[in-house]
Amino acid sequence: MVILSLQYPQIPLLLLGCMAVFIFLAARAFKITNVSMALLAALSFLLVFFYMIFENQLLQIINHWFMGSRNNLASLFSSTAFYSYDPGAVFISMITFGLAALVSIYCAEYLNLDRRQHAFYPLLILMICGLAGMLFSADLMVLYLFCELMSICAYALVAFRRRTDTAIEAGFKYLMMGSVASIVILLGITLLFLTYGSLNIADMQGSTSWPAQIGILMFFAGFCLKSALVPMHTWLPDAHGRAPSSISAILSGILVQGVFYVMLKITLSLGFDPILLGTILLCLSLLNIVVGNLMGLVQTHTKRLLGYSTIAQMGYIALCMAVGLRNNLTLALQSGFFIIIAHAVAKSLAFLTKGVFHYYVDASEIKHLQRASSLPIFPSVAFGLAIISLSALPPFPGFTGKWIALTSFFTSTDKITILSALVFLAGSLVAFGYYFPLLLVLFSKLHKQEPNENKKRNQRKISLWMSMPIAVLVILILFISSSPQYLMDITTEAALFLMSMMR
Amino acid sequence: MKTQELINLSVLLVKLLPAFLLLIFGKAVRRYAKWIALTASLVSLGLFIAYIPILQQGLNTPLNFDYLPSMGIQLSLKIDWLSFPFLLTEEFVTIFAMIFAIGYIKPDDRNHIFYALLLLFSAGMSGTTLANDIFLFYFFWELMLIASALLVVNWGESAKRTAVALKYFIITHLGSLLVLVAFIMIYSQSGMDHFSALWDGVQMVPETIPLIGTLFLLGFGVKMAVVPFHIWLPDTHSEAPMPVTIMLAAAMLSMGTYGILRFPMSFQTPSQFAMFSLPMMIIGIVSEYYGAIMALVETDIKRIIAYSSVSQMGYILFGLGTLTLTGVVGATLHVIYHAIVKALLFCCVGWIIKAVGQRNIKDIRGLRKKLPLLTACTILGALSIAGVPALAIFNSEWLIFSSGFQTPYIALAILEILGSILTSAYILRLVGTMFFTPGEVSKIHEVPFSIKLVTVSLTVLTVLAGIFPRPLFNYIANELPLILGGGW
Repeated sequence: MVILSLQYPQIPLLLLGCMAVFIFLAARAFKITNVSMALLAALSFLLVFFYMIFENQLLQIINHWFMGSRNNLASLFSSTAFYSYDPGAVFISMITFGLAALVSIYCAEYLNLDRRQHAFYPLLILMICGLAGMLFSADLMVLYLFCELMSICAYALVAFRRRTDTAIEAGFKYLMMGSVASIVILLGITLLFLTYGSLNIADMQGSTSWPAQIGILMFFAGFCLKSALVPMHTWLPDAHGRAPSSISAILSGILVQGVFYVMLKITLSLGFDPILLGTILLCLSLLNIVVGNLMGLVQTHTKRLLGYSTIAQMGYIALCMAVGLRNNLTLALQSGFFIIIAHAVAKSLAFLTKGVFHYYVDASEIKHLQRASSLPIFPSVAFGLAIISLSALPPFPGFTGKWIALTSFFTSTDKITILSALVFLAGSLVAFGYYFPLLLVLFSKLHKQEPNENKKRNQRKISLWMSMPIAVLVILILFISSSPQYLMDITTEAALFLMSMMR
Repeated sequence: MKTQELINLSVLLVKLLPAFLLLIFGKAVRRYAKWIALTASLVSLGLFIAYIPILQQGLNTPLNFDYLPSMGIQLSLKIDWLSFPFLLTEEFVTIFAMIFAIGYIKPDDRNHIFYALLLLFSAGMSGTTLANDIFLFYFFWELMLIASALLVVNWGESAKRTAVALKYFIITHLGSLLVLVAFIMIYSQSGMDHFSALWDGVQMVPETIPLIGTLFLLGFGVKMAVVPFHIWLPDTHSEAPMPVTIMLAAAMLSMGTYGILRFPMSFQTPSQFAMFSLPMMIIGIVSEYYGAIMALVETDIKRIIAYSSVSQMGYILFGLGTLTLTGVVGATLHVIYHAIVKALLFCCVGWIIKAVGQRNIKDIRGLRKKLPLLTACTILGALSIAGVPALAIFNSEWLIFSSGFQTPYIALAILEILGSILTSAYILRLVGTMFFTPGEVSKIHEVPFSIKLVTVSLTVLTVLAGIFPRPLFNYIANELPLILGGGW
C-alpha cells in the first residue's frame, strides 16, 4: 500500500520557487534556448515529484549521515503551523507535478514558434507552486496568497499568446471573474478572522455566529467560481480554449480539480455541515453535468469542446464527492478521486495531442481535425484513446471510475442519489453526441482532402519532445485500464481522510 | 491453467491478437489481411469445436483473473450450454461473412483496418457470450458496438453513413446504459459479478426485482431491435457494407436474445418474471406485424431484408415471452435458423446488387433466366423464411407457435400465426418481382466466386438444418430447462 505522506511540504514549495527565479535569471543572463529551459522546468517538477515519493528514505539518510540535523530541519520548518499535509493533497499534488513535468517536456518543441519563453516557464512553475501551496496550507492567509499566486500566473499564461485577440479576451475574462472570486474569498477570510481572531484553520472550530457562517459561505462561493461550477463556469471554455494547449492540459487536467479539493477540505474543516455542503454540491454538480454536456454538443472549436467536457467531468467529480458527503459513502469519495486521475490523464492527453495537430497542421476547429491524416497515425490514435477514455467506454479508466461511482450510488436507498445517478448516465450518453463526431472526423476520410495532402503523409516526423509525453500518458492510461487496483489503493487513503473530516 | 481453460481464452485471443496486430502493423501485409482474418476465425471455430467434448463431460470450469479485488471484480471466461448456440452461430456467421468479404470488398490501402475491425466485431460477440462476469460482458458488449459503428462509418455505402452510424451508436448505447444500470443494481445488492453466482439465485430486495427486469428487457430489446427500439436497424443494415450487414443481422441481433436468457430469465423465478410475459408477447406480435408490413412497402431490396429482421425478432420475443419450455427452446432454435436464413438472404441480395448494380426493386426484373443458380438459392431462402416445412425456419416456428397455445392467451397465439402470412407476402413479392416479372436488366456483371460459394453453402445448410434438426436441438435443449429457476 502506498502511503501518502509528506513531512515537510515547505521543501517542494521552496524548491519550485527557487527554480522559477533561477530559470528566469538564467534565461535573461545567458540567453539559454527553449529546450534547455523546458528541461530545467521538467527537472524541477521531477525533483519535487521524486522528493515526495522518497521523502522517508531521504530523511532517514539525512538522519544517518548528520546525526541531529534532522532536529535542525524540524525546527527550521515545523515551528510554524502554516503548512500541513493530508493524503488527498499529496495525491493531487503528485498528479500535478507529474503532469507538469510532462507538459514542460512537451513545451520544448511546442513553444518553439513563440517568443518570451523565459517568462513562460517561471510562470508555469509558479502556478504549480501556487496550487501545491494551496493544497498544503494550514492557514487561511497562506492559502489566499498561494491562491493569488496560482491565479495570477494562470491569467498570464492563458493570455500568453498575446498577439491573438482571442487569447487576450479570454485571459481578461478569466482575470475579471477570478478577481471577483478572490475578493469574495478574502472577504470571507476577513469575516472568519473577525470571529475567531486567528487565521489558523485548526483554531477555527465551532462558532455558529453569523459572521463565521457567512464567511464560510463566501469562501465556498469564491472557490466554486475558481473550480468552474455552473453557473460560475463561463470563464472556463474561453480560458481553456484559448490558452496554449500545454497550459490547457494543466488547467483542465488538474488545476480546477485541485482547487475543488481545497475548497472541499477547507470548508469541511471550518465546520460546514457536510450534509448541507453535499446537497449544495449535488445541485451544482447536476447543473454542471447538464450544461457541460449540452453546450458541448454545439461547439465547433475542438478546445472549447474539451473545455465544456471539463465542466461536465467536473460535475461528475463533484457529484461523487457530494453523494459521499450526503450519504456517508467512502466508496463514492473514492470514485471521485478515481475520476480525478482518470480525467487528468485523459484530458491532458487530449489537449496535448490537440496541440500536436495545431502545431503541425493548424487544426483548431473540429472539421480541421481531418488534416491530421497527413501526420503519422500515432497522435490520432492517442487522441482517440483519450476521447474513448473520457467518454467512459470499458475498459478504460473513465469507465472504471464511472462503474465505482454508480456502484456506490446504488448502495444507497436515497431517491435523490438514485436520480442523480440517472442524470450521470444520461449525461454520459449525451456526451457521445460530441465525442463520437470528433472520432469520426479524425478517422474518416469522408471529406475531400486537399490535393497535396496525401503526399505529405508520413513525411512529417513528430518531434520526440512532443511524442514522449504523449506516449507516457498513453502508457499510463493502458496501465490503469489493465490494473486499476493500484489506483484504488491510493484513493482509499484520500477518501478515508475526507471521511474523517466530516464531523 | 488447465487445457480447457486455455481453450476458453484462446477462442478469443486468436481473434483479438491478429486484430490488434493488423491494426498496428497491417499496412505492410494488407494484401494478405483477408487471409489472416479468415484463418483466425477458422482457428477460433476449430478451438470451439474442440471444446464440445469438454462441455459434454461437464469439465467447463471458468477461467478467472483478478481485476479490481477491492471491488470484488474478477474477470472470468466460461463456455456453457446456454452460450453454446449463440457462440456457434456467431463463429459460423463470422466465417461466412469473411469469405463473402473476400469477393465483395475491393482491395485498397485500408483493407487491413477493415479486416481487423471485422475480427474485433466478431471477438466482441464471442467475448459477450464467453464472458462469465458482468464487467467483461459489458466490455465486449461495447467492443462489438464500437467496432461495428466504425465499420459503418468508414465503409458505409452512401454519403449519409456518418449520420447513420451516429444514430446507430447513440440508440444502441442507450440500450447498453440501461443494461449497465441493471448490472450495477444487481452488483451493488449482491456483491457478485459472476454469472454462476447469479445462476444459483441471489438475494435481492424484492421491490427492485421488477425494475431490474424491466431495465434488462428494455436494454436488450434495443439490441434485438423489437418495435419501439427498431429505428436504428433499417438504416444501419442497409448502410453497412454487405459482410458487416450479414454479421449485424445474423449474429449481433441474437445477442439481445442471449442477454434476455442470460440475465433476467436466469436469476429470476417464473413468478417474478411472469409480469413480463404478456408485454413481451404483445411487443413480439407488434414487431412481427410492423416489420412485415414495412418490408411489404419498402422498395430498396436491402431494406426489405432488414425489416424482415425486425419481424423475425418479433417471433423470438414472442417465444421467450410465453415462458414455456417449448417457447424458449423454439426461440433459441429460431436464433440459429434465422442466422442461417438471414445470412443467405443478405448474400443473395449482395449477389444481386453486385451483378445488377441496382438496389431498387423496381429496377430489377426477370433475373430468373440470367442467374439460375441465384434464383434457386433465393427461392429456397425465401421459402425457408416463409416457414415452409422441411426447410430451416419451419421447425423453430412450429415450436414458437405451439408454445403460444400453452399460455392462457390463445388469441395472441392465433394472431402470431396469422402474422406469418405477411411474412410470406413480403418475401414472395421480393422473389416474384425480381425473378419472375417479365423484363430485362440492362447488364449483368460477373460475380466473384467467393460470393457464390457462400450463398450456395448457406443454401445447403438451410436445407440440411431443416431436414435434420435433431442434433442441434439436442445441444440446445441441454441446459435451457434450467433457466427461470428450473421450475417448468
